[in-house]
Amino acid sequence: MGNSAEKFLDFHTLLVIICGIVMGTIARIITLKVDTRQNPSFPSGYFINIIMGFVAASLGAVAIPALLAKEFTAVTFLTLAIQHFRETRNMEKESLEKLEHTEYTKRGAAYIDGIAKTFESRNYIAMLTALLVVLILLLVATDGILVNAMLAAISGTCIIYALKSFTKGKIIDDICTIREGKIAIEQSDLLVDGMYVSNILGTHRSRELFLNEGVAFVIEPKKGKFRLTIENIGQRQAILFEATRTFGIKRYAFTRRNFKAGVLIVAFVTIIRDPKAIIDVIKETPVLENSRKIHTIMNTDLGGTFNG
Amino acid sequence: MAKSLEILAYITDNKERVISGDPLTLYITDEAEREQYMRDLGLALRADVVHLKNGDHILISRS
Repeated sequence: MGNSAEKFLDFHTLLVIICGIVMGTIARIITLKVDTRQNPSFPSGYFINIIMGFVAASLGAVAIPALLAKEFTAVTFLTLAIQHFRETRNMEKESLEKLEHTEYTKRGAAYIDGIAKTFESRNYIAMLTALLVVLILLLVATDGILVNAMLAAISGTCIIYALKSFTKGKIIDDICTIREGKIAIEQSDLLVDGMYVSNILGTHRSRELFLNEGVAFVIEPKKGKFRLTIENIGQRQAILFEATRTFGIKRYAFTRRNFKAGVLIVAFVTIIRDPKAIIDVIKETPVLENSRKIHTIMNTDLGGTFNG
Repeated sequence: MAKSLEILAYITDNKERVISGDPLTLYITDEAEREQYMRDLGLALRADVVHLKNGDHILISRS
């Protein structure tokens, strides 16, 4: 009987683990966004990610109590968890790649990679939150459900805020100004604010369609260095994708760089014509990690040669 | 973003520019007939039409 009693957790440890799991799961729920991007999809994708967050939080929450019980093999659970999250990233990537042909325009490999990485990192946020909350509660070591719950809520909120701030990326609005462009057609050339975009409007019908129903936007970087980011192929694809997915596309979708003016032009014939709302969506497009150039790192003279 | 382009047809009103081979080259002088032809072909082949500065048209597909 004595041996079987040792197998059960004491009340305090159980309480601490539960607090950790709850805070970890809350961390995943807070980082789940349902917005115009609709990724993850609602409700199934949303539910899957909450469960994944719960599993991550559970693994994080039991790690320290397991170590305190001299179960050093518990560390291997964390490595298994990391392996599992990486698998989730690959699954997300494959899933989005398979859906590429069903969208109005393609997301592009860079955007898909960014989304998959974000999904993976958010599971780590859930796991780390649970782990750190449990650590704090064990260090403070107070009894009482209410005190532990409050301490978990306060410390968990601080940890979530810190981790969210650390992993928060920029959006297009942070680095660019966006305005609606004036569409004009000369022969079969499409011009936006007098800048050439395309020459494939070779029929009267296509020209009329673009003049009457087309929308065009001029994206201007706030600083010269941001041109490197918005002129990146993956970034341009992501901007076009977000704009066309939210408002649909009847025909034609163009992105064109204008080197002289240093701007990016996005033009397409949309299903729902609401230029102001489209500008808002473009503003919210994330700056992809792959396209983002951090100049403080680029300017660092660490020695070495090009390409490592 | 890189797409493969293919010229599906070249439509001209100049006989000297009609040569055999690929792509198909069509000689159509009537403006209205040419417009209708391009529209029908464009819809059927899901192609875009480019109006060249010399007055000729090409049908291109982008995949």
